[in-house]
Amino acid sequence: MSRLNDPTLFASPSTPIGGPLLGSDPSDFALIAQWKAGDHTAATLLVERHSQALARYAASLGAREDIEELVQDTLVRAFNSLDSFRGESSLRSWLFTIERRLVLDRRRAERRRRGQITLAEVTVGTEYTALDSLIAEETSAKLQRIVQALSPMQREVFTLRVVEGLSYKEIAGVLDTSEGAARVHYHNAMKVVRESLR
Amino acid sequence: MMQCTNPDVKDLLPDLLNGILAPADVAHIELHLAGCSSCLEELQSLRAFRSVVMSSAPSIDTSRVALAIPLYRPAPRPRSGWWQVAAGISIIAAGLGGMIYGRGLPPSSTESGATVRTDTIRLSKTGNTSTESATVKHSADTSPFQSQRVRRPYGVLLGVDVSRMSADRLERLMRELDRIDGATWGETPTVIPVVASMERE
Repeated sequence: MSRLNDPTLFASPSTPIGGPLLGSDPSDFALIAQWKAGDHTAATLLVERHSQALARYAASLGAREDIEELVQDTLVRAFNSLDSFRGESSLRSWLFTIERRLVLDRRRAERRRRGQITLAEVTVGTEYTALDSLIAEETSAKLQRIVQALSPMQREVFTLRVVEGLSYKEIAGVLDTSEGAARVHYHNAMKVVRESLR
Repeated sequence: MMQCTNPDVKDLLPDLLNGILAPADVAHIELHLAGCSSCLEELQSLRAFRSVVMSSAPSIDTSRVALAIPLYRPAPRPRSGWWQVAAGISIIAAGLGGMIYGRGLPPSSTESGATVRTDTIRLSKTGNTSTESATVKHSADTSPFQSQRVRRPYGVLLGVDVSRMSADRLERLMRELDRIDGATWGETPTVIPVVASMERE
C-alpha cells in the first residue's frame, strides 16, 4: 500500500487561517461584523477559533507562564482596536502580530525591571517549555530537541509556517520583516531539522 | 534518499499540511509525492512536528477568555479642521458671554456665604443662636448687596449677541474689555466687608 494512501498523512487542518472558506461556519469577517452589530456570541466564536493558535504561538515565543492571560490580553487588545483592522491580512496573523508585540513589550518591561538581561539573552535562553511535560514518546522527544535547537527566530518562523500555515508574506507582517527574510529563516530552520533527522 | 528535483514542492508542503492549497495544487503535489521519497519523508516529518506542537500547546479556557472581551464601541472619528475652528469659537464665545453675563449678577453663593459667616462669628460670641439663624436668613434673602446690583443680560450691555460674533471680533472685544476694566472675573468683590458692616449695624 502506498504511503500516499495513508489517510493520516495529510493532517486535516482544524480551521483554515482566515476562518472557514466554505461551508456553514461564518468567516472571521462576518463574525467581526456581527460583533460590531452587538452580537457578543460572535466574539465568543472568534475566541474559540483563535485561542489555541495564539497559545501555540505564545509557546513558540518562549512564553512560559500565564499563557492564557497572554492570550486573553491579546484578544482584548485586538477587539478594542478591531476598527483599525483593515483585513489586509488574515485575522489570525493580525492577532499573532499583536501577541508578539505584547510579549516583546513585557520582556522589555521585565528587562528594565531587572536591569541586567538583554532581550537577545532572554530569547536565546528560552526553551520550548510548552512541550516539556507532555512528550513521552521517544520520537516526540527527539522532535522536541530538534525544535529546541532552532534559534528563536527560526523556531518562530517554523511554527508560523508549519503549524499555523502562514504564508511568507504573512510571517513577514507578523515579524515586521521582509518576505525574503522570512523565507530565509524558514529554510535555515528546515536545514537544521533535516540535518537533525539524519 | 533521492534528491528532489523540484524544490518548489517542498516550499508548499506546510500549505498542504494546513489545507490551504487550491485543489489543483494539491493534485499536483500528490503526483509529485508519488515519485519523490525526499518530499514524502519531509512531509511526514513536518506532520509529526505539527502534531507534537499542536498537542503540547497549553489548553485555553476559551469561555473565561470570552468573558473578558468588551462590547463593541466605535472608535471616535478624528475631528476635521472645520470642527476644531468651530469648537474653538464656541468655547471663546461661551467663555466671553459667561464673563460679561456674570458682571451683572449678584455675588455667588460663596460670596453670600462670606457675609453670613461674618455675622455668625459675631453672634456666636453672644451665644444667641436664635438671633444667629434669623440673621442668616435675612442676609440670604434681602441682602443690600443684592438689591443694589441688578442682573443685566449681556445683550443689553453690549447691544449685540456675542455668540454671533466672529473670532476676530471677539478677540478685539476681549482686549477692549481688559482695557476698560482690568479686574478679572475671578477677583472677590471688595464690597463684601462693607455689606457685613452694614448688617452689623
